[in-house]
Amino acid sequence: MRPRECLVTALEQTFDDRSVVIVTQSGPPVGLASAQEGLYAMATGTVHPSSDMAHRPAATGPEGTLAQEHWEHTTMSTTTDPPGPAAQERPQSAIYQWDATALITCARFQVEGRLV
Amino acid sequence: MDVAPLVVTREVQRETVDAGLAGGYPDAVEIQARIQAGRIAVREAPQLSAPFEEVLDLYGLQEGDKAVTRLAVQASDVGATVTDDRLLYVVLQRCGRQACFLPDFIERAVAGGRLETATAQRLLLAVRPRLASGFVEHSLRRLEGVI
Repeated sequence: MRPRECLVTALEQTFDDRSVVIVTQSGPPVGLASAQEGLYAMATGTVHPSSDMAHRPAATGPEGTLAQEHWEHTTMSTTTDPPGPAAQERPQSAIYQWDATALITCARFQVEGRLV
Repeated sequence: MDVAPLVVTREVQRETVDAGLAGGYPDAVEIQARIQAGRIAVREAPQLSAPFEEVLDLYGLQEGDKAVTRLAVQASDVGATVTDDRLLYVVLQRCGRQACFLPDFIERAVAGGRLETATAQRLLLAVRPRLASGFVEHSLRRLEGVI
């Protein structure tokens, strides 16, 4: 499997329950226009409608149109705002781990009840 | 902090309680009280394999965040890790673990009826200084129902 295929497969597996594939290729990214969009995609499982990714029909590279083939199998809505985390909540273990800064921020808020 | 069972690593306890108490911060007293009452569990996060630890070093993660990653990787009963650190968020995702960005966690608490919208909005504003522009505003607009 070529590197690009590995990447596309991995991304499909990551997002398969959300019917979204981020199309990319080896070398300069073609389907992920910016780090912010990547973070957005990871956080929401969707491509932001304002992203040119949402309007990009195909990714072609030196190895042909593999990305195009995957793009054709993709279901993606670009006509509505992406759902928030509440709408995406999936059943999971009830235990949440917290990192230090998030814990301190919320504890301070709880104690002081005001902006920190 | 009361909306779901909560666990932290020993390192996070040191950073939030031990260091906080030494500095006279009231939030440290609050966290310590919750730990002593059993409302916050504290766990050890054993070292990962040498290659994994090397990768964590290369990311430039601080010790506390390395411990958070270790626990997330090793504890099967931890459903998600709540963080307001973008690097840690990305690293956890790349490790195949659920990471919940703090503003999203706050939104979920509202959606689940565990936090009032007005309180969530004030909490988001409290979080804002720690985050780049856009993250908190995104959550605020969603809570307002305009997007």
